[in-house]
Amino acid sequence: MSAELELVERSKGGDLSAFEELVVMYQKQIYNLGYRMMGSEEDACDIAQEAFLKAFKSIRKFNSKSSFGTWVYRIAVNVCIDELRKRKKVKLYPVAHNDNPEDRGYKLITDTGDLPEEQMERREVRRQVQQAIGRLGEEHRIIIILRDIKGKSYQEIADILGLNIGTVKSRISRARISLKEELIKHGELNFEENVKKV
Amino acid sequence: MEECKDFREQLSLYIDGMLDGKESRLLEEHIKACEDCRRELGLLRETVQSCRNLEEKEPPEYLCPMISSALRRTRKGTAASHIRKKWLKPGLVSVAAVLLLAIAAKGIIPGLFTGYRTAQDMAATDAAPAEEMYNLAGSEEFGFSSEQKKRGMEYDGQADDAAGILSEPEMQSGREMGTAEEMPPAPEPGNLTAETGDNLLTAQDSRKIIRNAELSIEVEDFNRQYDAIQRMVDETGGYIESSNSYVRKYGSAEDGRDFTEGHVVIRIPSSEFTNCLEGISTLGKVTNRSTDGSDITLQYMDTEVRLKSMQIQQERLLEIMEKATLVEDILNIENELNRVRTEIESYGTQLRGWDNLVQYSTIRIFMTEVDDKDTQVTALQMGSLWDRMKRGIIRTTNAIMDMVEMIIVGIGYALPVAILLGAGLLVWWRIKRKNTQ
Repeated sequence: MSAELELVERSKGGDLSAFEELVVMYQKQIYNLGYRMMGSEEDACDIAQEAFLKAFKSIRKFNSKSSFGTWVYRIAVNVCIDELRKRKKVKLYPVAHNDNPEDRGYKLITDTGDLPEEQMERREVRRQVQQAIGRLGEEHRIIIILRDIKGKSYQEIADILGLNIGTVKSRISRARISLKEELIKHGELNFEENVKKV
Repeated sequence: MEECKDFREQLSLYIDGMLDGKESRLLEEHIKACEDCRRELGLLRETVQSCRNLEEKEPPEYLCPMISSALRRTRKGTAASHIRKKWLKPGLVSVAAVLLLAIAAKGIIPGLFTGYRTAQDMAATDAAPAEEMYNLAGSEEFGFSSEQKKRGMEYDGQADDAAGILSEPEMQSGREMGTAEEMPPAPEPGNLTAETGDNLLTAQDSRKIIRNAELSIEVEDFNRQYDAIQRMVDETGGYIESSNSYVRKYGSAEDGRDFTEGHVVIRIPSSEFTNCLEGISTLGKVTNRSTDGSDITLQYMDTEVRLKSMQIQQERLLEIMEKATLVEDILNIENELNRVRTEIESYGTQLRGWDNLVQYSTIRIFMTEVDDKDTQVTALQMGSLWDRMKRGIIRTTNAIMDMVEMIIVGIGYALPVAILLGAGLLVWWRIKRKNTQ
């Protein structure tokens, strides 16, 4: 943490290379956040770039009390939401049919010795989940991403979004229910089958 | 089913382990019993799990350099804009504060920024003495100045002192009879005018009118015109009653010398009144002119009659005096005579005064010097140019000093307002900071 603090302090002073190190530290997370929110790689890059630029511009206002990561997340979330709202007027969430994100940089963590068919199946499932998430409203989407994809704690989510815990609790609940409905509605997952395994 | 609804809301929290022990147990018990809720729980779990199974993607390699170059690009603009932004708010605030101060000061002290004080003061102090002079002159209309009295007495060939005149009858009466002729001849209506000149004989027959005139003229050379007035007065047989001149406090001529101005009061024979007035008018530019005439014929005649009756009384008393033998009687008659003679003197004096006023009209002249720019092309006055420039510098510097003083005083007035403003701004800034955290 102290190393990060030092980088933050130096960045405040205008040290560009220090800030770049911070970018390296957080780029993956922010990129993923952007990707999950926007649904495409390009957008994810744009989101990440803009988020980091904004962060650098206003780094002087950042007081080192709160965690830098949370602060950057917040900026990124706002950038996403703004962008989505802008796009609402133009078109809906792009259904990334052509985009095969799962193919790039794809790391199979759990796949050890699985058959290719199963791998493919899993890939398909993941794609569909991503699409389902994409059909959610912005609020629910971000909550799902932060909680179930990023694994942020309730308190962290509260900090990032600037909400109180109670609101976070109810939103998570509602978001999950929405997502569940989406998945069932589009029949992308055989929930019925899996449920029995529980 | 009511129950189920409550439990459904808790399912998500249960999955995350956010329920306390008691709530968890209750839920688990319900789940065992309720198949719907059990199913629901399972679906939710599956949903969450499928999310968790999503891989964290690796960002493309070009992302980092892309961000770096973007940072560098904006950094150039940021530095400058930071400075600008940094000073922008304080700058705007201070400008607004100064403006507010000025407005407040102007509101509190209305005449703050005009700078016309000194000129107004000048004008006020200059008007006063002039008015005084005119007031004095005005009061002389029906009263008598000591000089007039002197002139009046001269006709009798008596001493100047009015008191002396009054005491003489007493001296005279002490010498008893036979001195009737030596007594101061009572001024009779006809005598006065006859003694002073033939051209006034006609005045005796016509009405008694006191003429006055006031004239204000602008001249180029005070002294020269003063001499001209003097000459005119001498020619007509009049006299200068009073004169007064002084240097003007403000303004000065092209060549640097100061302007002179002053009053001249002249008495001229009333027959020459109109001519003289016209003559003086030609000496300069007339800026104010007024004339008036008072007809005192009735009062004059009234007084004449009274005088006559007093004189008759005097005669009678003298006759009685000759026949008187008793000391007591003589003394009584003497007393009466004194009284009568006093009255005669008084009436006489009054009539003489009026005669003077009627005979000699009064013209009050106010002359002031000005530059006449129209008469000739004035060459550049090199000699005084330097002086004038110096004076200009001094004047402007003084004006600036005055202005600075005013501003400082104004700041004093507006200080409480500024403090309130500052406090308000501080509070607002604090609130804003808190919001952006």
